[in-house]
Amino acid sequence: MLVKRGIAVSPGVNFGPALILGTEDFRIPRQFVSVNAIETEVARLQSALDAVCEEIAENERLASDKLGTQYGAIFAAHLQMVSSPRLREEIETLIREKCYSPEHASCRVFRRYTKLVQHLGDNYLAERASDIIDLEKRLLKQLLGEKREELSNLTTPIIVLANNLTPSETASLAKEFVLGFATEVGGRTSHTAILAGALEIPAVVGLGEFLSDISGGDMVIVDGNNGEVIIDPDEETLEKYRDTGERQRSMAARLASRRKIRSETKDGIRIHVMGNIEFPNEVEHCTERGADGIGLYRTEFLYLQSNTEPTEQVHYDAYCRVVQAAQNRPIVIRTLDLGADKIPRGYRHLAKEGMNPALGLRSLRLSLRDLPLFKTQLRAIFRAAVHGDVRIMFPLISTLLEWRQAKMIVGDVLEDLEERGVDFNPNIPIGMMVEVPAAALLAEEFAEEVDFFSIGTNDLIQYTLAVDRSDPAVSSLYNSSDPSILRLIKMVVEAAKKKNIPVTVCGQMSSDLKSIPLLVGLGIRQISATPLAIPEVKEVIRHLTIARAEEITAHAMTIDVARDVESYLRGELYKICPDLFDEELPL
Amino acid sequence: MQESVCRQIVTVKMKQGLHLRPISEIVRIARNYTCDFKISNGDQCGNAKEVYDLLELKALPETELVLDANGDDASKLMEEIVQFFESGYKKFEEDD
Repeated sequence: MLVKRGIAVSPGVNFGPALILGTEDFRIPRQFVSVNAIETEVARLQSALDAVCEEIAENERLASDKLGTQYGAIFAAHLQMVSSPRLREEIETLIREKCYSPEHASCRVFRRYTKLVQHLGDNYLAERASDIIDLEKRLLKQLLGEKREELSNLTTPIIVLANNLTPSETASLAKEFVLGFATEVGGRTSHTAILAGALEIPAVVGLGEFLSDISGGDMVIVDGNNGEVIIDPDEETLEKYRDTGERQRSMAARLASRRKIRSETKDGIRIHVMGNIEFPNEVEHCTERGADGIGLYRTEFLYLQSNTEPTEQVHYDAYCRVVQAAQNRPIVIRTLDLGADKIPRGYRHLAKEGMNPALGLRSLRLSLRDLPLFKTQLRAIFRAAVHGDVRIMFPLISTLLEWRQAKMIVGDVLEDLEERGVDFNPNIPIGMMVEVPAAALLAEEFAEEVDFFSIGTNDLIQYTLAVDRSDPAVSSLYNSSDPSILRLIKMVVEAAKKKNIPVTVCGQMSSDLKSIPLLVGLGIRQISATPLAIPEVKEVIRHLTIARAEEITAHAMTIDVARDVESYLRGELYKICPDLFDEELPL
Repeated sequence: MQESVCRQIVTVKMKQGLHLRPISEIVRIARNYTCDFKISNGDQCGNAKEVYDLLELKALPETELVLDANGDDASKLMEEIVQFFESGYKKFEEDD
C-alpha cells in the first residue's frame, strides 16, 4: 500500500482499477488469471515476446537498408532488451507466483525498469525511458491482440491516472466509466480539476511523480476530500473508504431534499446562488440542487472538443441547450477564455514566443486579435438570447479601452445580424469579469459603462499575489483570504453599489464555505459556485444574518495575514454551521 | 588456450551515466566473447551480457566500476571494453 498526497480538486471518494493515460493506449483488462490457466498464459507470453522480437528484427532490417546501419543499431538495442532471458524470467515468475495476467506482469516489470532509467542521473534522462515504454507498448499490443480495449470504447469502470490530462486525452475517454482522476502535476485551476469538477468525479492533482510506482490494473483509491491517492490499498483501508462513500451519498441526499427552499439569510435577505458550468448537461446538476441560474458558463470546451474551430451553429446549438435546460433562469455566458496555445489554429505561433502564458495572448485579448473567431461566438449568443435570459460576460478585461473595443465589436455583430435578417435579441446585459487588479482598481470607471461585474477570484488572486497555483513550488503562497484580495473585492462591491449595478463572485472562492459569510458581509448578493457546492453554500446562507456576516467581515478586514484570516473564517463557519462539520463534510 | 582472469577499474565518463545506448553497446561487445564478464558498482554486481543487470548498476557519471572477466578470451574482451569506456562511448552521445 502506498499513499500519495496532492491537491484535492473535486470532492468525493472512489476506487477501482488504474488506467495510466499517456503510456497506455489501451486498458489492461485483467489483473489476475486462474491457477490452472498459468501454463497457457506463460505460453502466450512466450509467443508474444517472440512476435515482438520478429517485429523489431524486421524494423532493424528496414532501418539498416533504408537509413544506414547506425539507425539499425537503435533497434538492435531494443532486440537485446526484449530477447533478454532475464526479462522473460521475471515476467514469467510474476505469472507463476502471483497469478498475474501476462499483460499486468509485463506492465509491472517494464515499469520497474522505466523507473530505474528515470532515476538515473538528471531530469533530462526521464525522456530516455521512452525506449522502455515503447517496448512495453509493443508487447502489450501483441498480448492483447484483437481484445484491445480502446479508451473510447471502455466497458468497465476505471480510475484515470496521468502526468497531466490534455484535452485530447480526456476527449478520447468514455466518461461514464471514469471513477476518478489523479495527476502528477496541475493545480486547482488545471484542466483536470475543471473537467473532474464538471463531471463531478473525485480528483486529486499535483501528486508529484508516482506513475512509475503503479501498473495498469492496480487497485487505486482516489480521495478527493483529503487530496490522497492510495495505491494497492489493504482490505481495512478499502473497507473504510466504502463507508465514507456511503456516508457522503446520504449527506448529499439530505441536502438535496432541501433544494427547493429559497436561498436567503435568517433575516430574510435573498442571496442568489447560481452555478458555474462547462457543459450544457451540467445545467441539470445546478437546477436539481436548487440553483437560481447559471452565473458562469465557460465556453472553452467548445473550442477544445475537436481539432477544428466551432462554427456558429455549434455555438448556437450548445447555447440553446443551456437556455432550454435553465428554464427561464438567467445564464451568463463568458466568451472565450483560453490561451492562444490552446486554440486549434492560427495564433499558436504568437503564443509560443511568449514565455509567460498567464500574461500573454489569451482570453479576451485573443478574441480581440482574432475577430472572426470572436464574432462567430457573439453572433451565436445574440441569436440564442431570443429563447431565454442570456447575458454576456467578457473575461480578463484590463483596461477601459479593451472594454470599449469589445463593445464596438458587439455593435458590428448586431449590424451583421440585422443585415442577415435572422432572429436575435440585441438587448441583453453585457458585463465583465473583474479578475485583473487593474480592473478592480478602476472599478468605479468601469461601473459607468458595464451592466454588471463578476469577480473571478481565481485569476484575481493569481495576478494580485503573483502566484501560479498550478506550480507546486509556489502554490502554498496562493490564498484567497489574503487581505489584499479582500480589499480589492471590497472596492469592486462599493463601486458597483455606487453605480447601482449587480456584482457576482464566481471562481473557487465562492464554493469555499468559509468565505461565504465574508462575501455576504462585503455586500455580495449573488454567488456562483460549482454545482456540487450549491447545497452547502445555501445551507451556510440560511444559517446567517446580515448583521453577523458584516461583523465577521469587519473583523476579518482588520487581520493583516492571510493565514490568520483563514483560520478566523474557519472558526466562524464552525460556529455558524456546526452540523456541516458533524457529517465530516469536506471544507 | 590458457584460462585467464582480468580485472580493471574504469570511470563512467558518459554525461548521462551508464545509460541504455552505452549499455546496449557493452552487451553487444560482451556477447562476442565466450568468457564470463561481470561489472560491479560498489556492492551491486551484474552480468555484463545482460542489459537489465547493467541498468541496475545505476552508474552515474564519475562512478568507478570494477570490470571482472574470466575465461579464454578475457584479456581481449577487457581491451575492447576499456577502450569503449575511454573514448568509444562518445559516438553514442551524439544523439543525446
